[in-house]
Amino acid sequence: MESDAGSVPLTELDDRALMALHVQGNTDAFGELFRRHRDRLWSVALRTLGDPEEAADAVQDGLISAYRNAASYRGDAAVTTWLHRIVVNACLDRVRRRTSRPTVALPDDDLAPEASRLTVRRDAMDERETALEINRALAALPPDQAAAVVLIDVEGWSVEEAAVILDCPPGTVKSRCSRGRVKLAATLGHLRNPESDGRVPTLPDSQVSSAESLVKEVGTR
Amino acid sequence: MSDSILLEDREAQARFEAPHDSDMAVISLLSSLPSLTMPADLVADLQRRFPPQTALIQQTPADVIDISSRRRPRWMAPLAVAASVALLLTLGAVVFRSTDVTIVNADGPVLASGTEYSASNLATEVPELLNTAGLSATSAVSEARIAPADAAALAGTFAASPHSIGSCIDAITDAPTAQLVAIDMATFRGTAVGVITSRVSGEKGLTVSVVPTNCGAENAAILEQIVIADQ
Repeated sequence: MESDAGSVPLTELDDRALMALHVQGNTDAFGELFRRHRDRLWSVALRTLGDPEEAADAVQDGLISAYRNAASYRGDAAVTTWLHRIVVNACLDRVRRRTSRPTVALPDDDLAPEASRLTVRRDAMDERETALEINRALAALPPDQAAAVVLIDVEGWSVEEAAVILDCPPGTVKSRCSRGRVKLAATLGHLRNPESDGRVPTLPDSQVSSAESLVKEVGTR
Repeated sequence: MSDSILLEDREAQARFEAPHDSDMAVISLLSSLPSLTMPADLVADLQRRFPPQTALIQQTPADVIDISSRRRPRWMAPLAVAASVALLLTLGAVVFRSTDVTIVNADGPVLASGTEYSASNLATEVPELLNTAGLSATSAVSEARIAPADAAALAGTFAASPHSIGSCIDAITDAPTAQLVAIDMATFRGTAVGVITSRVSGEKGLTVSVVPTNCGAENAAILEQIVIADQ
């Protein structure tokens, strides 16, 4: 498919050019942006919310908002950052609107198919079970910590970029991420050390007090 | 904000800058998570809300229908129901049953024609293959006249076992009932793919879906999809 000028395929234009075309009324430009970024947006939404239906609704809300309000994009951040910001906001808005947050496992269909349905090697099955456990632990984090951890540690955004997406200072991103990691370390200790038979490894004395204070704060949030 | 909270914030920030071993282990675990693909039905639904992608319609003949408007959001369905795929072998026919999809087919529905498909030739090549294979476009129980793909050629693909085929079909279809007419292991734009032809009850046409060879619950990507209207 080509741009309105008729000479350059949309697939060869950068994100900013596609946004400009969309604002000018090109009917295909946003579809190309969606194609490029949809999987990462889905990943962040699903891992932040921990519920496929909620994540689908949040992604839908966010992308439709982005589609309609593209003229408000000022170009001071990358388009993908802007899209993530809108979708993550939609996720956190959904969390704020509900009174309690489910901490149940993500449905198997979306993140880890039931082992009985697949003929897979044992190691592949272990990988899926590990991924399922990690996703459960992420889903149990406070949403703002989950979002920070997902953006930084799963998706690989920089602190500065995550700060733009989360609309908060970089220091806040760091502290949310740290607290999330501390809680994950406690939850996923047996994965970190399979030999520990499910127990969280003992931390050196020097680390105990700081870890405890962080966990304590996590617990109050 | 109290001093104690500020101190804890600073402590947390400092720990971010100098992560402990346990933090590094968590980071390692998180970075090993597989990348996710947006479910095909959500993609289709969102594309419907944006101006439609017209490439498929432009590149295919007039009797090819854009089916995006007929797909229902899969995430609205109870997610647990698709887990009950059971395999029955009866009278030489392979029967899959789940509450989400029912597939009935004769022996040998998995072919390996090696056809080089493209968006523009799917609508002509698929019916031709079905005719050659003796797989009627209107019935899913015809006897195959060409040899099915051998097991070795299917190893590692979604077509390797009835279970993995069922997993793929569950992942990509929204239809409550769908008859699998044929699977053809081939190429699409130069990439190895499976071309799944199915018929949804009550619809007057064949649905042709081009999927990656690792199609399944974790990869519900549909590279191309058309409906070929019955003549």
